Amino acid sequence: MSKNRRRARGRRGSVRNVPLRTHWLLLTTLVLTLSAALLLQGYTQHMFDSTADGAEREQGPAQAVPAQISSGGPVIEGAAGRTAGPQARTIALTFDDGPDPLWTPQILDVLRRNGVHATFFAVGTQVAAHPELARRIVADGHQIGLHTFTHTNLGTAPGWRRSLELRESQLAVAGATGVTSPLLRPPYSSTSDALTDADWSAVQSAGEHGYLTVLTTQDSEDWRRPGVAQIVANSTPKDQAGQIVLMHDAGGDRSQTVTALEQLIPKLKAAGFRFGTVSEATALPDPVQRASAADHWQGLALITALRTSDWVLAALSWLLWAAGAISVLRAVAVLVAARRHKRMRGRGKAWGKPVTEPVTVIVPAYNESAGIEAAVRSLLASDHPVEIIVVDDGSTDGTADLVEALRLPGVRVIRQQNAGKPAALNTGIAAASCNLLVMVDGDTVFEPDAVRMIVQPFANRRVGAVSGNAKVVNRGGLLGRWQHIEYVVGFNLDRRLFDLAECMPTVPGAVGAFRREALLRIGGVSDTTLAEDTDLTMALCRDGWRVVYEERAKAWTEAPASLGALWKQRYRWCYGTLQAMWKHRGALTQRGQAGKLGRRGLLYLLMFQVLLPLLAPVVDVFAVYGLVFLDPVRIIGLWSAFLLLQVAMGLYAFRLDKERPGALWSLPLQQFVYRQLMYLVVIQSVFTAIAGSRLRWQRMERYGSLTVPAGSPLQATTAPTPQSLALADSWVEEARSAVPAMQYQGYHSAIPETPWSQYHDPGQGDAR
Amino acid sequence: MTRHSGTVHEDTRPIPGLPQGPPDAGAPGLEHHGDPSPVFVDTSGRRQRRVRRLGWVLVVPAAAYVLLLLSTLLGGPTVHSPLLPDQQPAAAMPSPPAADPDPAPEPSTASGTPSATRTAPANAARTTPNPTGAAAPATPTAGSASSTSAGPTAAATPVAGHGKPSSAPGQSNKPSTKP
Repeated sequence: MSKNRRRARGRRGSVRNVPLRTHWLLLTTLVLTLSAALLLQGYTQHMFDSTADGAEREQGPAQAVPAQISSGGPVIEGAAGRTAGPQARTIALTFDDGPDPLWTPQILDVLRRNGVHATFFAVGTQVAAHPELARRIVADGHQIGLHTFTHTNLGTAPGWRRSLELRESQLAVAGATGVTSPLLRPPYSSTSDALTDADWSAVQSAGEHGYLTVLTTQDSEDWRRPGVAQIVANSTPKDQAGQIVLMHDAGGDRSQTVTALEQLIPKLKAAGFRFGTVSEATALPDPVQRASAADHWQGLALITALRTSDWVLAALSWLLWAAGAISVLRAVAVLVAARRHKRMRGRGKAWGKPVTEPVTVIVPAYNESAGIEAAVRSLLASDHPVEIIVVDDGSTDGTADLVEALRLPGVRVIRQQNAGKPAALNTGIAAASCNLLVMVDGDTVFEPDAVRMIVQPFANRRVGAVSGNAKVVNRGGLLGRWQHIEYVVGFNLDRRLFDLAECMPTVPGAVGAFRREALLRIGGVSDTTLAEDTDLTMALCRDGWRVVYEERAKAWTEAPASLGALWKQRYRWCYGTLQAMWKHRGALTQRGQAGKLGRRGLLYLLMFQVLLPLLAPVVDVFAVYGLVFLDPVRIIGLWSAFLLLQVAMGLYAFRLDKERPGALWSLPLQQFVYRQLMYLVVIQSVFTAIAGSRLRWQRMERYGSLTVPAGSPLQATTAPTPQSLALADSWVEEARSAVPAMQYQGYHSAIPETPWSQYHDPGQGDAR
Repeated sequence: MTRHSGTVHEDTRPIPGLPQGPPDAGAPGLEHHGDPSPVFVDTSGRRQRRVRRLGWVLVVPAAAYVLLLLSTLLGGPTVHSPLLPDQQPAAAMPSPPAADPDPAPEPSTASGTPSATRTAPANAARTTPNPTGAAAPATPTAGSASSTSAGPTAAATPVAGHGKPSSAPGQSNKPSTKP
């Protein structure tokens, strides 16, 4: 039958059933891009050696440095071992570490006023950050040289990094100024005779790359900020020999350098000294060459990439801080709300006179033979008068026969052609003879007082629906435990907040009670979304009904026991919730009860179930980045703080629910698989929604992929750990065996792949 | 899809004493009756195509960015250090025109024509005091010419201490390519 319908649908609909994969490609690319940007950023920002140039360093051995080098001139060609020095009475002023937006222009001004040319050894990242300054240096007739990309000590750097530092800084210079320069001043270098073996090897390898290493002969020591007079004194040659003077135009307050220059240049000029660039002073041909167009453009690309990364990362870190702040706020709000809710309900007599009228329980069932008997029997054991209607939605496993064969009093079975859960619910609603309805999933087992508890709020006329407290039965294994935590926290914290704020977005399909009259007013259960329970609840809220939470109405439900099943379930929940949110988006601007749902409930869902999960991959990438480039202790501390907050919330929720908090030990592990699964589901759902693709289980095909649950149906409570619960994943298995006693056993030996979403939306944030 | 609400309505028993609906019952909430198709599903497939296109619009620049980064990491300009005076007196070649026979590799320094013409005179300027050619055409910037031209007069003296003043321009033309 369903086959025929499927075919018919297939003819009519023109949607190709091609699974949309664009988003995975997009996600992968974006994550890779972000990682690349972060890597670049991390390299430039955090590998940057900000130790002052002249600071004392460990002196390594210097045996390997040839004598003619250590006693030679300050300009060294490492490959050939040749040196050159400045001519007599010639000063080459050199400025390291720039360009700096504050000090470099001032120094350039001083030089221009005095008609003097100097050499600027620029740091690549600084050039990329201030290309206009590098351009001005060149345009003013000064010589530009390299001071590596990240001000790194080339002597101690490995070969790949030496090469990278030179190439990247050259690219930055080529991009910013359109010239290339073979002049290199290695950071932390000083005079020739101070070269260590490591320095010498760096000088040699730089020479092999075509670089000319420019050391100094006279250190102004301006980085110490010793006072203007001292800098002038340090920079003044003692005799008539030419000098290469080391100064700095960045790396801190350089006002002393600027002032000292004003005095130094006229003074030395008066003493008969001439000023020139390094090549001029050493009478070398001008080494600065025009860069090729390709190099220029590649350099521009590097600068653009660096600046884009900076910008994107700044934006993302603000977003992350905002997300963190919002998460903390949410945690506080939820805790406060739960406390208030607890006190409010704790006083008893909250709902008025006890509700004693009989209740119709509707059990929609599709291939639920595994769990249906336990479900029905548990309902019959209620301490409240119930009429039970099992609506068999065209099951193929004899669910209806099974229930009929039980010949239980007060249990009716209605068979219908397979038409979907909403239709089955509507059938039940139509057939119900009581005004109060409880809807239960076929795999859910009620506690004896659950029905009584769940209908008590109906003493209040304005209450249209009540959410019960669904609990996970199969808590063995890591996956079960995680879901258990999620349910307890979601039901006991988020739901209380929703209740207080009068904006409950979901009454779970597994355990919910409704006023029949309210359901009829909104036209029954709609099948336009995959989360019909959310859709229904939102419709009730918009119709002006209050929807409340009754934590004492407990029902036990089976949670998916494999990652695949969990994925399917959450995909449906998430996609269904998105559908329901979109369908009821009008509530945002409505007044009264509908507006409360719209502006509180929908925005909360949007923030914590859609937007924050979408940001979550970025959090993960940033966490890795932080561990690699930032202080790992700080990152782990931050992470632990958030974890602690979660644990605190968990502890409180477990206390409210009188659960043993032992399962909470698995919370830290949740960060690694579960969290990712949860946000990937959101990404998938959002993309499916935007693309408008039809889901496999939508409409006619909703049951197409279902398998009939195997195993015998009647093993209630006596069954040992069901075989199918023994998860295939060994890591889950391992973690599970670590827990000595399992409190609860499954009700059936096989986990049915429930065709319908038992939408409990525990509401706990995937959003962290 | 089977929809039972119609039949349900006929079955409804009025509940005595209950107000017909809650106080602020606003919209009747029956909108899904008018819209039987599932939310979000776009049967035309147009939106899916659009999303695919948008995805590519995002993927392509992102991939380009990554490739570009990789290219900058792997590539980079090559530079050739300028001529330094050779330390071996034996290699000293007195004649300045010696630079000319070997300018062939020079244009490969990515700069093109000006470099070839530039190095020769500059070279000459250094080896033999030859102020006229001294780097004056060398710099693209005009300002440096004045200070350089003065240089070569004293060229030999300071260098003498460490390196020999004499040089072999022809030899030193491509030192960077040596292993």
